[in-house]
Amino acid sequence: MHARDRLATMTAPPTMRREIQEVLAELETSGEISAEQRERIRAALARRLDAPRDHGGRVIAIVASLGALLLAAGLLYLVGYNWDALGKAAKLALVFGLWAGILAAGYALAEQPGRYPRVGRALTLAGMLCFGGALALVAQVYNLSAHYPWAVLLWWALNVPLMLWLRSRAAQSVVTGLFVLWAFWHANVWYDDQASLALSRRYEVHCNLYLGGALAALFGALALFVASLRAERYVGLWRALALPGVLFALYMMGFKEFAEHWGAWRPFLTALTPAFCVLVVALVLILAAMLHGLRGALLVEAWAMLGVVLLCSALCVAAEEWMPIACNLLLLAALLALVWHGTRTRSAALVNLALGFFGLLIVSRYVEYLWDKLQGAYAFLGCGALLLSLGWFLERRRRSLMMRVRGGGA
Amino acid sequence: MKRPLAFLLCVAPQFLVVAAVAAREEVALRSGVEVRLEVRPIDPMSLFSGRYISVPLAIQRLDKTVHIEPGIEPDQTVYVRLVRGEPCWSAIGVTREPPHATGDVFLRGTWLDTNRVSYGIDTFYIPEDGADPSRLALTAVVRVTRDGRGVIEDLLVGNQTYAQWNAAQKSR
Repeated sequence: MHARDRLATMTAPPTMRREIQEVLAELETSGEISAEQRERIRAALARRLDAPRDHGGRVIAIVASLGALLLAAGLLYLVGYNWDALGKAAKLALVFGLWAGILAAGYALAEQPGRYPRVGRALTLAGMLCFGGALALVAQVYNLSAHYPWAVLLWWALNVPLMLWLRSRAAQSVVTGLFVLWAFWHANVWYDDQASLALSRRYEVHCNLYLGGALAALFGALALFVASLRAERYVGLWRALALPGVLFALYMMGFKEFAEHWGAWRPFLTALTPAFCVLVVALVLILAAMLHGLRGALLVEAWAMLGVVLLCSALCVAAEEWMPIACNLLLLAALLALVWHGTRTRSAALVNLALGFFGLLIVSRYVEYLWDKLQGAYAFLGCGALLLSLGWFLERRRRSLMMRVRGGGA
Repeated sequence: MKRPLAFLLCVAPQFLVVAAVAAREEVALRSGVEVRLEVRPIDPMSLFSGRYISVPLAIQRLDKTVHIEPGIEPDQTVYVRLVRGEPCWSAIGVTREPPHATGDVFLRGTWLDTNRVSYGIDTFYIPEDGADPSRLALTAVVRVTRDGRGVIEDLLVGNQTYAQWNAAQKSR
């Protein structure tokens, strides 16, 4: 999509509109533009900013993507159904032929002559998925198996260049999903191989939770890193995964059910190795972004997420009995910081995220600590009253915070 | 860089990887020495990989007659020398270096512990509606390359290949 088309499909948030009006008024007051010029600029901007959003294009892209996925699944099903009747050469020819055909059709539709870019991109996306299918089918033809999920590693890693070429959010989602699948799969096979952990109880749940938090922090660092490379289109998804991911990990770590076994694993360094590896990569990305000269809100977020996950690791080893209290306090502090950060950067999404997690935290802790201590009716009454008060509080706070976000005062 | 060239550079490694895997296995199947090894099948199903029979080789657990070079550590690469027997080949020695004598057939594996070796060849895929032979006596037909890599070529159920046996089961 050209820059001009992107502008045509963009709607401006109210805060941006108000700021444009304010800047125009200031320019008129200072005499840099006349009232007539101000009106012409305002009218031109309104024409561009009030242009209808390209909902139709998005629907086409979604429909085409679903169609491409169904087509790929149907072809695989058709091949699979007749699989036994095919010779090895025919199987390989079908695998390579279908995969190459899907990619070639995608390229032709999206690029040359490029009359149907959305359908073309959807087909290229199906081609990315077909790579995994091709790996699996070749493994099946030759009875190959592997202890570690190397095929999934190849699947996501070799799709990264195609994701960069496509410049599409859908391709980024596919690669990100495959990466997460690989990371958890690989880490858990590695855990199974560690004889030293065989005597530790319940370390898998804790360590997977911790790995999840570390992966979320890694996405925050990745968002920062790509921003430092001026590839802003990739920032949104990774940042959207990072913040809720770290908060969710922190929220889960605060459950007292986990407390008995936090850090009880021996050797704990082995148990935390996968997460530490992820955190080291995150640290390297943050430092690389700083070397590129990137500063600002994203950098603060990335450091904060890395710090919170590292702090949890230190806590779970040094004071495991304090983990529920420490994680709840840490989550509350993080939510307060997020509200402050959201109002400072005028981001309603951050404020809403913080308030949403705050509500979830209060309800969860009520159920966790008080539900079994109260008799049936009292529990319902208490829960109802709690939710109503929470709703009242959140609505009141949200209104005032939104006013601050929109620049309307406290 | 022009977009067509960039697109080709993006997809070419994917095709190369899949083609290289297929080519490597094909070369092993065509040039490797055919050995028949007893297997002890278990668990015929996997949700992720489709339908397969897990066919761990009997020589994954070495008996006391096998000479094991002293000082082998877990996770170390080892070479298991094989000798022809009837109906199956068997292991006679384990070393850290590949045997030098010409004509020696050996499988490369990873030493697990006291007497266990992993060869990385323990999967045989069967059709979704194929009969399950895992309770019968099975023999893996393995092609072994000169550097000790093994590739499963077929699975024998009694004297029949799996495909023949499966067809016979279906026709009943």
